[in-house]
Amino acid sequence: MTASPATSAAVAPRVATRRVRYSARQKFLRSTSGLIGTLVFLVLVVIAIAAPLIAPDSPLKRAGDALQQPNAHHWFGTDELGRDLFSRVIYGTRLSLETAVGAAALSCVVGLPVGIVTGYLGGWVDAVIMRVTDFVLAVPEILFALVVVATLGSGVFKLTLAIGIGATPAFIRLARASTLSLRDTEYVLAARSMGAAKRDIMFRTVMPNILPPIFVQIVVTASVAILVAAALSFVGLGTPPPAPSWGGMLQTSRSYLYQQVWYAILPGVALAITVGALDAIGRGLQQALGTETATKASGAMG
Amino acid sequence: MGSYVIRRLLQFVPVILLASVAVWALIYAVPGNPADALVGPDATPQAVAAAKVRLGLDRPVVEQYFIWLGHALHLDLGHSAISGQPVTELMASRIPASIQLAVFSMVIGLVLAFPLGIASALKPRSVLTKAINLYQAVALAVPTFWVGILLIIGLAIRVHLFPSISNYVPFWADPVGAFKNTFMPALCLGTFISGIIARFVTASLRQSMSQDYIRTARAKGVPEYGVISRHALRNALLPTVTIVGLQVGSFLGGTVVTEVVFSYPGLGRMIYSAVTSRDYPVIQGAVLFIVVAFLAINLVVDVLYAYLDPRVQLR
Repeated sequence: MTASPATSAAVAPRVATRRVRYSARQKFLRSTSGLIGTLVFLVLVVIAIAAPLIAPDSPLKRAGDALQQPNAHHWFGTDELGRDLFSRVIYGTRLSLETAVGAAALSCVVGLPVGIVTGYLGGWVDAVIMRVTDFVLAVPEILFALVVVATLGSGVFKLTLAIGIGATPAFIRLARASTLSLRDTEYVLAARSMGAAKRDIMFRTVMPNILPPIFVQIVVTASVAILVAAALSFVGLGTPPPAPSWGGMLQTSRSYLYQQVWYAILPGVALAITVGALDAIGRGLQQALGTETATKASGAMG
Repeated sequence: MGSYVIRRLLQFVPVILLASVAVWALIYAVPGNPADALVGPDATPQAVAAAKVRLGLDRPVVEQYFIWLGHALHLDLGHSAISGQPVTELMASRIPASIQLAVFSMVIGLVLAFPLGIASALKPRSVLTKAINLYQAVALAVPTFWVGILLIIGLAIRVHLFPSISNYVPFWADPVGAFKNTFMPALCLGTFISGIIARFVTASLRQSMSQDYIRTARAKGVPEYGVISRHALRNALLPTVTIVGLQVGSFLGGTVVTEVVFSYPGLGRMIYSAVTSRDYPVIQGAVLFIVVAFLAINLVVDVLYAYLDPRVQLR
């Protein structure tokens, strides 16, 4: 039996996707911002994983006199309890990336399927979910996280949960919009006419084809999560001390601006480099995948 | 035009109702008894009993919601569990400070964003554009509260140009004092949004420069300056209106941490104090206000956009 037109139509987009993916990879590698961002981010991942090997001292134990200026022993100086700041900043990378990965994973794992299902099925469930996302999107990320923490209490896990929930509507919106634009394309119609189950259409036919903007959103979410987590720790409602969170270090440093000014500068530099690397990857991906308008323009202002 | 506005209003109402349910339900998510959470830890048993009667906490849950909503619609959002002040009064005293900060920040943001955005749209491959791109990337990556600390170190501690604690001085009462107190927090927020707005200006100006009417204008012999200012920029402003409106909306509750850094007495710091002292009536009132205000600003922006660009209504 020769391939029916319907089957070949259903196969066509997969070939096209592969071609798009190939050229997208080339484009991404050619974009300077994407490449630099990726390299910096990989270095940060290595730092986070190998923190015990890189950090000269414990991030929690006293390593010398308090509030030393940067010197040969303590590259970033020491904090008010005599802990080595370089070690604390190194371990802070771990905390930041954990929150970023946790929040991005949570919001994507929840938001992507919900968005596809509501977009594909429509109806009143779709209408209700859209109004819920309207509401959550009307609350600034930082405020949303603050209120959740005020209600449930603080801690690394609750913080990640709060940021993840706040970031979910963006995924729902994005997945829903992409699904809507594909719902009546020929290959989806072909799959439907061949009697494919709704679940298979949604997750095997539609989902692989809406992933590019989702990738961008994952990176954007990770970057926003790091900023929001730092902001919350900074106001004392995020990661509780003595954990070496960059936001928490910046908070304490404000009491010692006259004695050890580097204390207030270096954790911020680490924060900016991490967020900057993720933003650069996001921009490179956007250019390579041609999803310029896909993401929400606002970051986390704090 | 009229039907468009009505359609948008019909979308607006259910979201507000949903927000009111969520804000009301917040108090039930707090561990413990809602009455205790609403009147604060130091309340007398009489105060707790009074609150129970006033809010109908002994009645069915659905009825409780409608009692609460009825109060809210009459602008009665309860009393602060800490100071006992009415929540609406408390918010009203903070809103002018927040508006002043938002206006200052937006002015700084626009003054920075427009020249940068236009320059990088007109010379896409120049070194200048690369520098502008770098500026935008840095503006968005650097947390505003850290910029705040750096500004305090630089301009308040090293050089005594500005006070390290920003008070609210009304602009009409004392313009110089208002500038001195608002400049540093506004600069933090302004540079951040300038990164977002500049990128939009660049993208939409670049797009409008490639349109047919630009070619027509050039063919007619309109000088390049006129082509840009009268034809391209005017059309590029449309999408920018939306993004500026959204940013104004995010200033309402998104400035918590910046206000904390400078001890600026706006809505953001009020929310922060309420969260740290578990003052739930204030948290509820502030969140409800921010959601309603944000959606109202969005509505106004959309209607304005539809007015400026009649094609929008067709969608």
